Order: sequence, then C-alpha cells, then structure tokens
Amino acid sequence: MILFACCLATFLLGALAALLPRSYRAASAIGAGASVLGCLLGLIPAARALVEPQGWALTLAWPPPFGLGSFAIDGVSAMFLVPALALIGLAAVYGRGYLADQEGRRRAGPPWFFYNILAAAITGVFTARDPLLLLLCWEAMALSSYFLICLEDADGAVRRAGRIYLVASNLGAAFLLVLCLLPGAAWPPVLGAADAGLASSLGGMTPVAIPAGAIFLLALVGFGSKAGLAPLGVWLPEAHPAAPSHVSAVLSGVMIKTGVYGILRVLLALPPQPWWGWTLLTLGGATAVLGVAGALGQSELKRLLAWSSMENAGLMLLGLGLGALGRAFDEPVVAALGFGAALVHMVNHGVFKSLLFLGAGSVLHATGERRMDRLGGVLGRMPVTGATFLAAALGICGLPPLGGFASELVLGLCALKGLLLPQPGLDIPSLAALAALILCAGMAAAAFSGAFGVVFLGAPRGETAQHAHESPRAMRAPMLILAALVPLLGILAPLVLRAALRALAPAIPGAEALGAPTVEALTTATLVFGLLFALLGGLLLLRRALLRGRDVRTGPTWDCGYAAPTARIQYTYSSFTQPLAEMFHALTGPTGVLTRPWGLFPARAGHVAESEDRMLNGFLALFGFIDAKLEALHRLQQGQVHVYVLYIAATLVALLAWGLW
Amino acid sequence: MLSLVELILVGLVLTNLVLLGTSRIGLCIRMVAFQGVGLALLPLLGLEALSPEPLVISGATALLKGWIFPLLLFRSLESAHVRAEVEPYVGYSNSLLFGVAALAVSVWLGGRVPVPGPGVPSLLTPVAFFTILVGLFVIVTRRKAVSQVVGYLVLENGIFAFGAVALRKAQLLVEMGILLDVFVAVFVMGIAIFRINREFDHIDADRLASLKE
Repeated sequence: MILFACCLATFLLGALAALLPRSYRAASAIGAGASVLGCLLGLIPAARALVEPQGWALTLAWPPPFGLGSFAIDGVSAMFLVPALALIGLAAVYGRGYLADQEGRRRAGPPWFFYNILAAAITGVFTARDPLLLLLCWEAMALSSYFLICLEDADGAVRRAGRIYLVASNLGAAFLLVLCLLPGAAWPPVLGAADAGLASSLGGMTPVAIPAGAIFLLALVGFGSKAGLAPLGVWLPEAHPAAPSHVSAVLSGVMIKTGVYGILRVLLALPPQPWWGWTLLTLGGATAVLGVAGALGQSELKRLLAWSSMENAGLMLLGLGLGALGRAFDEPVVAALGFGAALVHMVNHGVFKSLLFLGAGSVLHATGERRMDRLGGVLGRMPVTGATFLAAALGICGLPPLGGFASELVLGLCALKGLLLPQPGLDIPSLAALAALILCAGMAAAAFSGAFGVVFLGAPRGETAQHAHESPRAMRAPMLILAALVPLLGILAPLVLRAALRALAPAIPGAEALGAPTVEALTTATLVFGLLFALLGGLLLLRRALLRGRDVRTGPTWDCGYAAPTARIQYTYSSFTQPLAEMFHALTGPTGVLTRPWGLFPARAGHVAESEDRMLNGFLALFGFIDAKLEALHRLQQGQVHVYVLYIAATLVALLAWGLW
Repeated sequence: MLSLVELILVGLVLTNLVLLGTSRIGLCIRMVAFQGVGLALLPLLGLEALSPEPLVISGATALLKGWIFPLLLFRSLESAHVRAEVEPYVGYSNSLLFGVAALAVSVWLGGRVPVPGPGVPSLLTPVAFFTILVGLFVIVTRRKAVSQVVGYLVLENGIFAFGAVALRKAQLLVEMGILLDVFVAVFVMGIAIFRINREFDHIDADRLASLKE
C-alpha cells in the first residue's frame, strides 16, 4: 500500500522534475528514470494482489465529493495493472533512446512530463474506487496522451490525428461523465466500493434508480470508444501512427485496455441480460473483422499495427460478450472462460503489440520511412529489430506455442463449450464468435506475413532502406525483453489463465474449479508443442551431425533466367494482400486505380492502391451535417455585451417566473 | 420603524425611474449614490440594541456607495472625455414604460414569494426585484461602458436591499461578499474604460464587437 502510494508519487514528482533541468539529457534521464522507478514500485503491490485475491485499499485523506478518494487493487485490477506497468516501464527505456536524436530540436521536459502523467493516470484508472476519481484519472489519461500524440506538432497530419483523437475521446468521456455522476445508483458498487462510508459521503442525495441496461449502454459507449470499438474507434488508426513509437506502444498495449477494463467491471458487477452479450458479440465481431480488413488495406507499417490493435480489441470484446452471455444464462463455465480469455488475450496482446510498435518505431527511426513498399531487406541490416519483430508477428498470428495461440485457444474453447451446452440462445452466438475468431486469425496471419516479408525480407526498395542501421542499445534492450516474453507467455499460459480465473473468482464463484479442465488442456497443448519443437530441434541437430565433414555448397535460388532483377519486381504489401483485401471492398472502400497498358508500344501502366476509412468518413459527414444545421444558431452570437446580458437577464426572469407560476 | 424602511424603499423606486428617464450620465451616477446612502441606513433600522457590526457595515456601505464609487465613475468620465449623454438603444419614454411594466411584474412576482421573515415590509421583495430588473435593463440598453457600470451598481443595490432587510442574521457574510464583488467590478471597469478609451478612442461597448470570434 505504501509502495503503491510511492509509485503514484514517483510518477507525479518525476513529471514535475523532468520539466526543471535545462539540459536535454538530464531531463530525459529524470523523466524516463521516474517512469521506470514508479513502474517497479507499483509492480510489487500489483503482483502481490495477483496472489492474494482480496487485495488492499488506499484511501486519501482528502476525499473528493461523491466519493471516498480511495484506490484499491483486487484481482481484476492486478491483472490489468501488472502488464500495464511492465510495458510502461519498458517503453520508457525505449523512449529515451528513441527521442535521443531530438536533442537540440525541442525540449525533453514536456514529453516526459506527459509520459509520467499518463503513467500515473493509467495506474489510477485501473485502481480508482470511486466514480469521480475514476473520471479524473480518465481525463488526465486522455489529455496527457493527446499531448504525447501531438509531439511532432509541426506536421499537419499529426495535428489532424490529434484533433480526431481529442474529439473521439471527449465524446466517449461525455457518456462516462453521465455514468459517473449519476448519484448513488449502481456505479459505485461497480467499482467495488459499496460500503457505508460511501453512502455517507453521498450525503442526503437520494440514489437514482437507473435500469441496469442504461448503465451498460453508457459504459459500452464511454469505455468502448477508448477500446476501439467500431465505429467509435475511429481515432485509433489515426492517433497510433502519429504518436512517437514508444507512446504508440503504450497507447495500443495499455491504454485501449482501460476500455476493456471498464466494460469488464460493469459486466462483473451487474447482472447481465442476454442482449448485453449479443450486443457485445456483434460489436466485437464487427470490430475484429473491420480491424483486420483495414490492416490488409494499409500501406504504412504503424497504421497496419493500429488497425490490428482494433482487431485484437474486438477479440477481447468477443470474450467479454461470451462471458456476459454465460452470466446471463447462468452457465458459469462459459462466463469464467469468456472473461478469462479476454484477460489472457489482453496480457498477450499488450506484450506483442507493444513489441511490434517498438519494432516499427525502430525501423522508422533508422530509415525515416513509414511506407512499407519503400522498405525491404531490413532484416540483414537490423537483425535484432527484425528478429524481435518476427517473434511478435508470430505471436500475434496466434501460432503455437506462443502467447497469442494460448489466448485464442482459450477463446475458441469457450465458444465450443457454449456451442455444446444445451442452453438455447447460447449456441448461435458461440458459433458466430468462433467463426469471427477463426476468420480474424487467418487474416491476421496474412497481414503480418505480408508486413514482415515486405519490410524485412527481400531486397531494399530504396535508398532509405539501404542505409538502415541497428538501433541503439536503449532501444534494443526493451525489445529483447519483450521478445523473450512472447514465447514465455506461451509456455506459462496455464499460469496466466489460472491467475485470471482467480481474479474472477469473487464475481463468479468457483471460477478456478470450473476453468481447471481448460487450464489442463492448455498445459497439454504446451507439452505437445514443446515435444514437437524438441523433435524439430533434434532433427536439425541430426541434420547438422550428418552433414558434418561433407561438402555443403550454398548458392542463390534459380532465378528463372532473369539475370538482373530489380528490387521493384518484388511483391509489395498491397499486391501481397490484394486477393484478400478485395473480398472486403465493401468494408474498406474501393482500393485501386488501374492504368492499363495501351497501344502497340505501351508507355505507362500502373495501379494505385488506396483504402479509405469508411468509419471516419461517416463521422466527418455526420459532423458536417450537424455543423450546417447549427449554422442558424450563429445569429444568436452577436458579439455585443448588451445582447449577452439580455440573454442572461431573460433566462433568469423566465426561470423565476416559471418557478413561481 | 417599518415606515422608515418603506420610505427608503419608495425612494429606491423613484430613483430607479429617474435613472430610466434621464439622459445625463452625471445624474445617473448621482442617483446611484443616493440609493447607496439610503441603503446604508437599512442595517441600522430595526435594531434592538446598538452594536458595532451594523454600524461598521452601514458606514462602509455609505462610504463606498455614496462617495467612492461616484467619485471613481466621475473621474473615469472626465479622464475618458466622453459626452455626458447616456446614448440609449431604447428611448427615454420607452424606458419609463418598461419601468412601469417591470414594476407591475415585480409586484406580481413579489406577491407570490412568501415574505422572508417577521418585521419585513411586504414592499421589500417587489422593490428589490424591480431594482434588479432596472439594473439589467440599463446594462442591456445603454451604449456607454460607464452607464453599464451604473447598471451593475443598481443591480447590486437591489440585491443589497433584499439582503440588508431580509437576512439580518447572516448579514456580515453576505454584505462583505457583495461589497468586495462590486468594488472589484468597479475597479476593473474603471481601468478597463480608461484603457479602452486610450486604445480605441471610444468607450462605446457596442463598438467592441470586433472581439466576436
């Protein structure tokens, strides 16, 4: 508890201290150091809460209105907090190296100030126990991340992305505001603070009785907008690529999980209706498919990763939807496994997605090139980045025995369980979830094999890719640690799932026992794949042993007679994914403008591939429409003090007359 | 005693009507000063025993409302070299008509509000409300920034009248708050007028619309 207070204090003091020094190096050392230290301090109580399910609480001596001002960590908080703090700390180390070349161009204080505020705010969101405190942390998180996204504010595209993020984030927060400020009612119990102290702090206010469905919808929109739920997640593909890469890693690996956290809290605290589950499954499935279809149509690496984050958020929502259905139909096995799958996938996605963003940032740092089709052959020039990116890409494709496989397996097993139970109303949603999961896994594999192949393999397509160089050690070390975590999480998947089930046990009685067969299945799967890989390794060793002492020649593959191929005849990302992307034209918009070769001696031919963001365009059209309709109100804005006072006076008199009528 | 309070209240109504009907800024400022002195007497009336608190409040009010504010306003009027006319958007006779209508509305509203305590004249609520309405009206319809300050002062007089009579118990708290507010307001406005005049060569609030967006 005291450690947790120290963790928050370190973040806040570090934020202020980073602003003080004039020297760039000192400021970034203080800023990054405070982040790392704060994360280490926070990890201890968080990890302990993972083992001791009842957790602990910290109450501020200065309570805000409508609440107690208390933080607490229970199992669910800890499940989110442990990966969050670990990732924030690693990204801070990376960020110090990443921003080192900015010396002289801008001050180091502000980015590190906002980074530490973001770290404190995220920690607060995962642990706040009363509505106002949660709202406060939520807003601090939204604002500090906005400033981090807009770090490269000289670039117009970055400013535009920041604006989209700010609008989307405020729209979502508006729903949370309603949810948090509804006095009494059901919100405080959602956070687990339904005790006498809170009731007394609400004073004489009578709790408003709100239907649970309304609370769920408010939470779905409010938290869902942060989780990247379609169509509210429009900010995601814009903001993630615009941010500096270590910030993208935190945004994608940690911040979008706060949305999942909020929805999970509501689902655990209130008795869900079946339609909650159906809504979540529909939206989650749509988000996942849209996300992966969007990823196939991108041309920039970080943009692809952002769309893929949306896909993974969709998969987590699928898990939550299955869990909600399980609770609604009183099938605790499905409930425990659905929520558990969402939690395990949250942990895994946090690790490999932030690693992917760090890798993409490393490539960007070395080449200055965002477009995949200008890169190529980077693996030979940046072996560490390439290898770690490969590990993460394998993880996100859900290949055994890595972490992604384990979490998707749990989700699949949960859907199968729902399919096989005799409960009507559970079978078709489970089937749909299973179909969406499998579709997404396949398409993600296509997207990431394409991305890795185009960026890291083959021959360089341009000058920039040719002069790529490996990143400094400060950037390599966090990537290596994360890359080690990807297979480790696969091997330890049964433990992670067991921890998740233990965290869920207070809300779903007996979750641990119910999930035990699945934990065993995971253990078996890990063992089988372990044996398989041991066999493979053995065969490789055998091959080497057999070849020892013999003459082995290596040469280029037969090049079909092209003696001097150019780098431009390689597959590009858009050509690689074109057959798949074409299937989703309806979702991602028309992609190509084809200029056909013409005449006996054709001079020019080409194909330009673009994919449009239909969700964003829809929102822009909607906002334009509202703007046009509200133009008439401009007449009220006279710009004269007299008229404004008249408005005020007229309102006051009218209210008084109305009150006294 | 009650009759003396009522006398002051009637005086408040009459000065309000003069404010609406006159064209001279100087007269407006004098009327507000009269109102202030009259209001300063209110805390002293209806006291059982003489205690220092009402005396201090009364003295401070008289000093501020009767002397300092008019002095500041006259000074800013001089230093800004403005014509001594109010320059209204709404004509003087129409303003007077509004005054009569506002008085009627105030009496109607006052009848619906319960008298706030024993020993409070029934005239109080209508008059206070009328004064507030006149203050707002002056702010809205007069062109000069100085007359807007006058409007704010009248508005505040209305609130003060109500507070001084109705809230005898928690007087000090209410009054000090209000006095401070107004003092700051006049102070700021005085400076603002001076500045605006220097920068833009006029103090007509309607020509400050360039700040719109």
